[in-house]
Formats: sequence, structure tokens, C-alpha cells
Amino acid sequence: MLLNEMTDDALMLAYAAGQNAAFEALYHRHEGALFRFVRRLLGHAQAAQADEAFQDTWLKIIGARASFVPGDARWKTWAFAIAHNTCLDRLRKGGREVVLAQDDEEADAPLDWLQAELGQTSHSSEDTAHWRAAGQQLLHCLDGLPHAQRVVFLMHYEDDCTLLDMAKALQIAAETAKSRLRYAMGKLRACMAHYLDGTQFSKASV
Amino acid sequence: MTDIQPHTPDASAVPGRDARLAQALRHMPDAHMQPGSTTRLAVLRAAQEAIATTAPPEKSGRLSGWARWFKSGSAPDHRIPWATAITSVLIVGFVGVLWHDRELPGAIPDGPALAEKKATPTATPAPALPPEAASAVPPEPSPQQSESKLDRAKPAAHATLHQEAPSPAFVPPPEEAQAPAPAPIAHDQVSERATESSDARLNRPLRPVPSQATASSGMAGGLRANKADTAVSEKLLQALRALPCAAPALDSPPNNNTPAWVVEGTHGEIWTITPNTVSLRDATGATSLTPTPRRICAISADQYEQLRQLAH
Repeated sequence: MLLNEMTDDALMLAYAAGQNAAFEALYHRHEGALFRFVRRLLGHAQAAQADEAFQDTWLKIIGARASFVPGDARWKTWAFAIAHNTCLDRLRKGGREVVLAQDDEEADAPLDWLQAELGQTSHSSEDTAHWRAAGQQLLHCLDGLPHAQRVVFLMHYEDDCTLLDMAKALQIAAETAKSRLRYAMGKLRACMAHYLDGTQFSKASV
Repeated sequence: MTDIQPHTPDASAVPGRDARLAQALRHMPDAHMQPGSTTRLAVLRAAQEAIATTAPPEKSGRLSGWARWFKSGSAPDHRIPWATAITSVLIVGFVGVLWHDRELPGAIPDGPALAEKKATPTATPAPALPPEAASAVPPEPSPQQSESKLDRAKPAAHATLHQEAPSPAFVPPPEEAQAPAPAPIAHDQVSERATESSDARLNRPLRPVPSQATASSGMAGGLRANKADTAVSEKLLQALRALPCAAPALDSPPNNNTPAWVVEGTHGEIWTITPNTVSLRDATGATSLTPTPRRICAISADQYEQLRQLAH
């Protein structure tokens, strides 16, 4: 079986069995996503540490190869959880305040606004410059999110991780993960209002 | 309020639900950023080294538990010398198995074999025994006989001479208690002694002579006893030579059951002293051919006591 056709779990097990090529395949498969995840978790202020945190994450993955048990969660979710812990340590060491549980009732807004927005296809918004600016704004908005909400959002959208898997990987309750995701979306709505409420995004009910 | 799709486990699978947000995510400035090449190389090198330094789990899985434990003990990060300890225990166990049926050297009782070893001279080489003497087996003595011989051997222990050399205390060899009877000195034994220097003979001890009943074994015992380094009193020799032996009182060797000492003279002659006789045999070849002593003199109890005094 070709390495490219193997699942992440199978590649990790093959590496744990001594196949270095399996690790290389796994690394190249997830290098970009994991690096982005680490960089966005650290935020703009500590983006310079992204490389070190990224490397630490992979070293932890290497060290934990023997304890990896497939089945409980996808390998990517497991790796993202390791990256999250690594970044959390760096943020704490860097003196940045990390608020893990910030249940802001004010932000307890439903996500239907986002669903409504995302359900729309605005051809006029296909403009590359527009999306580039939206991306820049989203990066800025992510920086403003508390760490706990940011990691939930990133894991959900970067990793396509379900709430249950996310809660298991982060060792939090499913309801906690759910509320954090909602708070994050509420803040992002406020932060991205210009791009969502403007001409590019027209509200429409689902 | 509509149901929040992301809250359900399968929410991420809903197509188009977060298309716009995903679009925004894809256009984030860091969307296409990659780690540095040095970071990439460092990670890949670390991964390779990790599986190179440690044995593959598949292989180690095939090893037995002992082998894995032994390998882990010899790993560089394990400083405890388990391998050395195990090797030491194995060696000790092997030696223990070798000595399983044997007693420790210090606990071996003084049996006949050991007594023979003790009586074997170390200063001078022992002469080869004649085949008949070597093959002769002493008869098993009765307990009473052994006790009586032990009692007789006790005074002989005091017969060591102290005048010319610092003499160790005479200790009768253990087999003498078991040897049933003393025997006169064999001729070939005497001829061997004739070749030794007179100075060495002067330091020979007085020995109880074994019974003649076991001539061959007694000869061997007497020969061994004469090898001890004990000074012989010159006065004793003079007294022996000056004994008034008017006539060969006896033509037969001393009684088998009488204790006897053996004294070697400076010229190789052998004096055998019993409580009532003193016999002399030369170390010449002619004498060695004749088993009977050349001269046997009867002595009184007083003379015997004087000789004992001189011996002390």
C-alpha cells in the first residue's frame, strides 16, 4: 500500500513501527495546516515563535508515537491538541494572559447570522482583493479572541473537528466546547461586520 | 432560533454552511505560510533519530521479557549496571552448582585422605612406594584397638627433641589412630634415607613405629612420619649408641602392639625405641635387603625413661 493512500493513523503506526518514510508522508500532509494552526493560536504578538512552537509540537508527536492509539480521535485532532498545549505553554511563559473559560453571556448570540451569511453566494464578493482583506480582518479578529475560544474556532474550521472530538481532545465538556464556539462566532461577527454586513455580504434567511 | 449546526457532530459535514468563513480563512495572510526549511529539516531529522536510537517495537516485541529487560538495562540512558549484576549472579550460581555436592574446604573433616595429605612431606620429596606397599590396605581396627593406639600415641607426642632446633610439637597423624599396627621400617625406605644428607636427618622427629602386622602400610606411615622436621638430640643418639647391649637379646622385632619411636642417626641408621627394646638398623644396602633388624637390645624401664627424658 502506498504511503499517500494510507490514513493518518496508519502512517503514525507505521512510523512507530520504525518506518521513517511514513512519518515524512505524515509530516508533508499536515505541515501547512499545523503550522497555520500554531501561528494563529500564538497570535500576531508571538508569531515569531511559531517556528519553535511548531517544531516543539512535532517533537512531542515523535516522542508520543508509542502511546498513540488510533480510534479515539483522528490523528489530526490528536496532533492539534498537542499543538494547542504547546502554544498554551508558550503563551503562559510569554506573560500573555490566557483566559481559558470566558463565558461571556453578552456574546451568547446565535450563529444563525453566520449560517445565513455563509449560505449566501455573492458573486460580487469573488474579488480576490475583497477576500484578501477579509482574511486580513479575520486574522485581526482572531487575535482579539480569547485563547480558549480561538482554539475551538480554529479546530472546528481548520481541522473540521466535531464538537465531541474537540471536547475530548481538549479535555473539556462538550457543552463547554459548544458555548466557546458560540462566543467565538459572536465576537467574530462583530469583528467582521464590515465584510458581512456590507455590500459583499447581504443577509438572507436560510 | 434555528438549530446551531456546528453543535452537532456532523455539522462540519454540512456543505456550504461555513463556505464564506472558510473562504475568509483561506485568504488570511498566513494561509500559505510554511515553516522554515531549517525547522522542517530539524523535525525530520529528529524523527529519524528517534527510531534509529531505539529498537523498533516490532523487533523488541519479538524478544522475550528477559531480553528486553536486559537491553533496557544496557541502554545508554540507564546507568545502573544491571547487566553486570546479572552476570555476577549467574557466575555465583554456576559456582554454587559446581560445589553443590561438596562441602566447603574448611568444613571437611580430617578423614584418612586428608590425613595422608597432611602427613605427606613437603620439604623433601616422598620416595616412591613399592607396589605391594601401595596396594596394601590396613585392616580395619576394632574400636578398642583404635583407642589403645590413640593412648599410645599420646606419649609419643612428647618425644620431640628440642635441643638443636626449634621443633614444632609432634602431632601424630590422624591415620595412626586408625592404622591398626605399627611396622618396622622397610629396607628400601632406609636406603632412601641413606641418600639424604645427615643434617636433614638430624632434624627428623621421633615417631611411633607402626605395628609389624601391617608392615607395608606401617612402613609407609613411618616413612611419612620421619619426614617431619624435628631436631634429634645428639645426646639421645649418644645414649642409644652407648646402650649396654651385651648380647642380642632378641632376634625378633618388637612386639606389634608396643609403641615405638623412630630416630634417625647422623649416618642414616635407624633407631627404633620401644619400652623394652631398642633396635638399630643401618642404612646400608646390605641391611636393606634383610628385613630383620641387625641388633635388638633389651632395655629396662629406667633406660626407656631416660631415653624419653633425653628426647624431651
